[in-house]
Amino acid sequence: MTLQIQRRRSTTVPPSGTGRGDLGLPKRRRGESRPLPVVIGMVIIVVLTIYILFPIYWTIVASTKATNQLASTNGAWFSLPLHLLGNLQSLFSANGGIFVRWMLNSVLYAGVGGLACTLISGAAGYALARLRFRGSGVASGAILLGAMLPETVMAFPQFLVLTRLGLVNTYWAILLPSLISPFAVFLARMFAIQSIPMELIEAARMDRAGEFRIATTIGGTLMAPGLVAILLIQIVAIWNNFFLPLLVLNSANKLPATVGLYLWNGKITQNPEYQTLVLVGSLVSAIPLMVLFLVLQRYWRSGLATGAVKG
Amino acid sequence: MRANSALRREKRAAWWLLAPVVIAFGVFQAVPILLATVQSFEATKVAGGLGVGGARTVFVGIANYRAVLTDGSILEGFFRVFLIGIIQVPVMMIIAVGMALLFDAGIIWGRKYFQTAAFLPHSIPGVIAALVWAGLYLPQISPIVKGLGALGLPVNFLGSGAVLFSVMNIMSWEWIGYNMIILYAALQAIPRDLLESARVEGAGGIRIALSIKLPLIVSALVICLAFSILGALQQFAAPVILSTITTNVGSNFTPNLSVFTLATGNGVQQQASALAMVLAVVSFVLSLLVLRVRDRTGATR
Repeated sequence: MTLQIQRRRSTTVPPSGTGRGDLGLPKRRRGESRPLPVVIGMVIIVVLTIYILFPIYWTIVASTKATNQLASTNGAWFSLPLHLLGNLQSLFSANGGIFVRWMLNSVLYAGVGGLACTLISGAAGYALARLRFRGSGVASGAILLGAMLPETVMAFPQFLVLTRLGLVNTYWAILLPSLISPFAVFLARMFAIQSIPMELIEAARMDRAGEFRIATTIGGTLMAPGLVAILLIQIVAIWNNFFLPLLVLNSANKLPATVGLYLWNGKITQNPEYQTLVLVGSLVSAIPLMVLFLVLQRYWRSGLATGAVKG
Repeated sequence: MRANSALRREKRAAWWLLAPVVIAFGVFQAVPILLATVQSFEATKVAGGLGVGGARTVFVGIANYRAVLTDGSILEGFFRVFLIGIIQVPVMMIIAVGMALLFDAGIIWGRKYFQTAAFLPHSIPGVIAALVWAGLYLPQISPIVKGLGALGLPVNFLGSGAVLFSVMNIMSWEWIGYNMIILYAALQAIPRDLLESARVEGAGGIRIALSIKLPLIVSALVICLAFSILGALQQFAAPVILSTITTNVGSNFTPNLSVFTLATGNGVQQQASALAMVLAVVSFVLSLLVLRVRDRTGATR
């Protein structure tokens, strides 16, 4: 139910918020005639929104301050002159510019890992949903079982395998495990079921199109919005990755931004300069994802709604 | 004949398309679980005195499981997760449901913008969220600590009693919007004529929300609840980050943190495996339960 309505909204109505329109009229009239619920409702939402946005706002404010100003000035407001540029300069030059390396690593891990995972999950999802073969049920079941195991629970067992493969402290130690996400395969299968009519495939077969051609053209095209959602979810999941890199990486130049910033955070008690670096670094490393999120929000939401019916 | 070869082609294509996932699944899901399972029943024994005989692996039955599940500080970690489950999860869910109901009632101006704002933390990596909140908990620089202090309300977010609640706050901050969006989508799927007829019967907004809307989104609620509990069970990043600024977060603060501590400790890797398997089984059982409950309630498909 959730899923269908969300799909309908996300495919036909871009997230313009007009979904309300059909029933809006009687309700809105009701709200206008009784202002109290509106006022109470608005107050609750505004207070919660302040709670939600304040940490982001504070990070921006803090990023514009010199280290000694963090403690000495009003933390909730900007103080002039702004030190944002100076802070960015120290962020990018600290410890020989290691932060740039960390960001590039994160982009590599999340971009390449996410893209590869999306492609292979999409292919598998298509096959599971739309092709007849023996073992299809078993494979779908195994994927569902896999999707029930949280990622952080898998980190240590994966570390055991990576140790035996001799991949510890290499880029592969992060990239290879990120290839597989049973949840992504599960989502891809759902998207394929929803978006690819069987008749279309049959018609293409009548026209003597090969199976791979059908999979890439028809499957790929119709599943594209779903694949974008999967890509977003994977990018965030990999960017978020913390347990695994902490276990398998030990040289500083291979770390993703999250682990790097964590290491810096461990130094702030000895050297307060790191506090500024951590906050500016947090802001810089969160920006790409926030932009991705704001621009592609509707894909994100549709992936989420599909995920919610997973159980 | 023709149909047969077409079927064969379809089957071959299916396996080619599946191959990468099957291989990756095997190497990075199935084998790891297998290895961890085997290792969880083993121990490393140093053969011979003076370490000359080298180490050798022996089967020890459930000794590792007994060791981790009788360790007081690891059990405390489980208890903390339990507290998160009975305090943070309900509080967060009530807020998320409340927000979703308010948005669904159509009385919020600028709904779209408020929803985007509420959902925004979900796009911020958990580690980054924890780092930022860590700053907001630090008395030297936090405007919240200073502001409350100025109002005569001295707080210490990093105190031994408070720090668990500080972790809960980070979790709620990250997940309120996510849950709200899922619940809102479920609310939107309720047939509008149903609500209209209730209104005609004279039911008020709150009455409709509580006795019509909520029962209709039970399965979405169950799913959100289950994800939240699974999330609580896995807590790792936030406590690890907070442990860099306070000694009140120890190396066994949550079970997952204990796995990390055991994994990086000397010679107790097998115990890390045992604890990881315990967590895997608990998560797995929880997920299965959710599936059962969801199928029972049957509202969502």
